[in-house]
Amino acid sequence: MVIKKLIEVITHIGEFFILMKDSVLGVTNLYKIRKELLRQLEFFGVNSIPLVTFASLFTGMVSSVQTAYQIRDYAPLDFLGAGVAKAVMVELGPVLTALIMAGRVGAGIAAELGTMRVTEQIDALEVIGIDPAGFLILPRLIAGLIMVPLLTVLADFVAITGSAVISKLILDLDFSVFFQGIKLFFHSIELFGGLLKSVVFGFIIAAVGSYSGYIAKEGAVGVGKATTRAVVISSLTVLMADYFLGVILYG
Amino acid sequence: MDEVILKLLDLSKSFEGKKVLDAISLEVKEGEAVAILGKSGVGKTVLLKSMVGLLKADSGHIFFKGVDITRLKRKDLFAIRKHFGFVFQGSALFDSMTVYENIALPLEQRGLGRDEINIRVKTVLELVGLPGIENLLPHELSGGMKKRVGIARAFVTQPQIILYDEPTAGLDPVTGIRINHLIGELNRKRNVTAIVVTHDIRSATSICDRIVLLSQGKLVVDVHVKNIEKVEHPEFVEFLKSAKIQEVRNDKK
Repeated sequence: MVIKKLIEVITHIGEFFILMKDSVLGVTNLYKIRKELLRQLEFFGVNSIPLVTFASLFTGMVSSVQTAYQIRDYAPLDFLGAGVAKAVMVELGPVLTALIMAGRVGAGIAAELGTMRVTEQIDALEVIGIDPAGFLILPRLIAGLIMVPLLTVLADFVAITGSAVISKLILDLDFSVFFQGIKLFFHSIELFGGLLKSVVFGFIIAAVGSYSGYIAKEGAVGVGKATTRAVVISSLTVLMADYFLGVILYG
Repeated sequence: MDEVILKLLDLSKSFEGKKVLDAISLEVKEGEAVAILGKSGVGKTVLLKSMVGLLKADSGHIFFKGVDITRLKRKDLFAIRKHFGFVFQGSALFDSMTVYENIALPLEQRGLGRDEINIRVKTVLELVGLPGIENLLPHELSGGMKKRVGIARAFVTQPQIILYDEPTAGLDPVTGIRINHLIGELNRKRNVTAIVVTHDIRSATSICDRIVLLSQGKLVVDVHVKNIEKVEHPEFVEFLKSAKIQEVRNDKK
């Protein structure tokens, strides 16, 4: 039983990488998938702006309150901006954005491709002579690689701004002090390391969602399973990748 | 007309230990219309999808104009599929695309110019009796309209062979007759070879030259439509009875 399950997992991992390889090879037909790419850029990026803004605003605001509470016994509030900004750029911005995207976009991709699979639309592409990997998955991978980092920049900006506003309103910390703290202790690796993480997370969300939907079967039930699988696996993989990237970048 | 366009040789396929296709052999000649008849769940769609490599056979060979497609690399398989059209049971139109985009997609992939694509899309929509619906989305179409758009998409590339999976399933009789008429017209007037999977023997007799019966994984009957009265196989006779063609047969006797 355990061996059978293990073989199943290894088979899935193998099929996943074969599908990704076939998708990347589709890059030679980039011009032909431009419409689908634009659609995915909109789905990944533009449509996610309200959700990411809302979530990162409140995350930034609560970060101010929590950090102030944690440092009040051993550090002056002048360091609040530095502490919040580091946490946001290194960890909160990329990870929070990725988890939101895994729930919103990863699930959406799995549901869309899963429905296309069970209604034979993917078979129809194959019969037309179009490789579904290059036509359907490559635009999603590109959209993930571009849009998740851009949304992370937005999330970082909104969270830090929200934090600064709350610091002023509740903790009476001047904006100039807050931003001076950020400036004094800023290291570019914190910003660019966070963005590098978000590029990897973007790939994970798009790839796991695509594979999950692509292999869906058993009608509506199968699409439901694919959607759940996409969110669970991509969220866990993001957290796992976050640890390893953290060790490599900041360890 | 006599050249073999598609040949299956000892084709077998199993799912989880259950043999669905058992050493199937079949030859289809250019311009011919062949119906694959069988009860639900007998493996007709599996057989049809195997013919274009959508399902990989466990053993056996499929030759398209002498080329064994079971041995082709992925890239070459995509190239050879351009000679095929496939009409899916549920139409399989792309939800996010309009009727025009659905039909134009295979032409765009072949690199045709916009003017040529526009002319071809307009022509096939007129052929299937649905002019002027280019801007509608699939969810705005009825079942019969979707089937006809599916046929238009399959035919727009001017394939040498079209495979139809239950083209009249779930349609009212009037629409069903219209679809049958369209398939027959493409076959006879445009000389497009047709393989039609169906469990409706009336459709099979009205469209096709030949009927083969798939039962328990094997092709147990292969008969010209003119000779269906002579077939003794009990399952085939059952189909005839169900379509009340049996009465005609008895009258003739």
